[in-house]
Amino acid sequence: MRRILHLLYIGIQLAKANAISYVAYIVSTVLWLVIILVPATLFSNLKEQALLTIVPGVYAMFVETCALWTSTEFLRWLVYTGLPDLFRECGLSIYHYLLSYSLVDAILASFASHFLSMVIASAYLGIDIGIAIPKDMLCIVLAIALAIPVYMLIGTLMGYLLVSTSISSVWSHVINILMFFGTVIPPNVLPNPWLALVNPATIVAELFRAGYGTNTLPLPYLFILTPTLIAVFTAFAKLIGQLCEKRIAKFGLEYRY
Amino acid sequence: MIVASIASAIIYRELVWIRRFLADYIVSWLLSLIYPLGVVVVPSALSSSTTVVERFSALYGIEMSLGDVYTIVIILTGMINVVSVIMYDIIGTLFTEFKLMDVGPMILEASSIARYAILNAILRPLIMALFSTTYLAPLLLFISGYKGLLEFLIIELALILSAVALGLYASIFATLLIFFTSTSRPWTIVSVLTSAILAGTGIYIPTELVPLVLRLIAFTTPVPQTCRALFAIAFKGFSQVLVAFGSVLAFSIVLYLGVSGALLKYAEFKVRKGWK
Repeated sequence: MRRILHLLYIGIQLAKANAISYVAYIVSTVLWLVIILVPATLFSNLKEQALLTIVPGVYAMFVETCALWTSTEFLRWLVYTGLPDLFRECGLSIYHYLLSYSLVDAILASFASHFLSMVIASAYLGIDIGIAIPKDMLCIVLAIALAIPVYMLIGTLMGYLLVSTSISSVWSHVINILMFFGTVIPPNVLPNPWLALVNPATIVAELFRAGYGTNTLPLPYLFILTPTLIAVFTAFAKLIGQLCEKRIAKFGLEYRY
Repeated sequence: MIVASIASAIIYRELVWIRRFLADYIVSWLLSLIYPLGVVVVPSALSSSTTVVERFSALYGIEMSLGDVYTIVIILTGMINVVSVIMYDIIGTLFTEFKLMDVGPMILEASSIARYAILNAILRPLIMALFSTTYLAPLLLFISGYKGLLEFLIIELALILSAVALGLYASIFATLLIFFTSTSRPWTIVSVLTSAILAGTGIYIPTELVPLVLRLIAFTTPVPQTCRALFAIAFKGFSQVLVAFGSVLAFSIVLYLGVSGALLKYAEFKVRKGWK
């Protein structure tokens, strides 16, 4: 527990050092998403209901993109600074680096992106910002509880891809595109809504939607799946993190911008 | 002679970069397909495609079919690609060249910073705009047949002219970031500015529906006018919209050329005197 608290402290200090980058990332991501969110809401003619179906997906998608870029940052961009070596000398891996950032990325930054999306979209559509307050807090709490394992899983998966292949930023962007499905693009748009479960963040998005009463997958299933997925995703993230570390010990790290 | 040498060097480098970053261009074409999905398919699934067509027609005041809606959404997506590629690349490359690679002294020995940066801002967008929107040709051919190809050429002309104005606009910010600030993270400004221009334009919705603050940012560029022109081209009408587009574009190019030229000349004067 003490180790986790230390890691969270390190993550908060690193995030504070990059506060401007965080703000820029949140604002630019939200403005990019607004280009789709607002017309989608406007053209459906459902206003509040459409907004509350689409925007909660922003939270889940942001959790995933943060994991993707945090992992890339640790295993690619920061290699020349020696930070990954420093972590590894202390017996820590990509798993621990992600854990250190989990509080900031999966909770603070992702919540900020969700509420900023709500504020900007409401300004466009002339909707009362009061709708941004969730109706069912239990679902939101469950979404956050699942968001951290999803963040760890996606981050370690991306980390393993980075150390075991010569994957380029192009693939990161392709993965980023796929993250739209199940999150910002709700599962009921797909031919079979359950197909969206291929994206681990779908349940996070659905729980977030359930917090606003706009979930597209049945709530009882979400409640059953959540604890199971928390355990499964955490175990897999830990395992993939270890595989990643073994791979680095054997082949080293490649710096690429 | 020097101008021709710089021009050929810039064009050569751009073509080499396109070959090297072809995969990035292909991904940007793929990403362009997410927009029609988000803007037409998602609202259709939430309500119905009839509602989407009715809302689209009501907002723009023109009777449209579902095919028309897809066509205009695909065409307008080209504007998103052009703005993001030009803004990120012009500012990013100039910043890297002057701040990280330190090619400034070489440019100063051979020519002048202003001449290089302005040629860079005019020539690169001509090529980048074309490559970032090439995917429109097969899509429009598929939707409208051979007429679609003619439509593509007219749209491409509008996008390329707009890209040149944006290239000069981006050069103003690049000059400010390189010579007048000590920022080490130019991407923070570029990413917010690019997304603010696009969100401020509205792209798929009339600019009048955009909040004033964002709209004001967008109106510092010719992007809103270009979107109107693309809409007019797609529906073969509104000749006054095209005249307004031409006027705004000419005014923008002259204004940005003047401002970026003056800033670059001042920066060069200071740099030659040993200013870091």
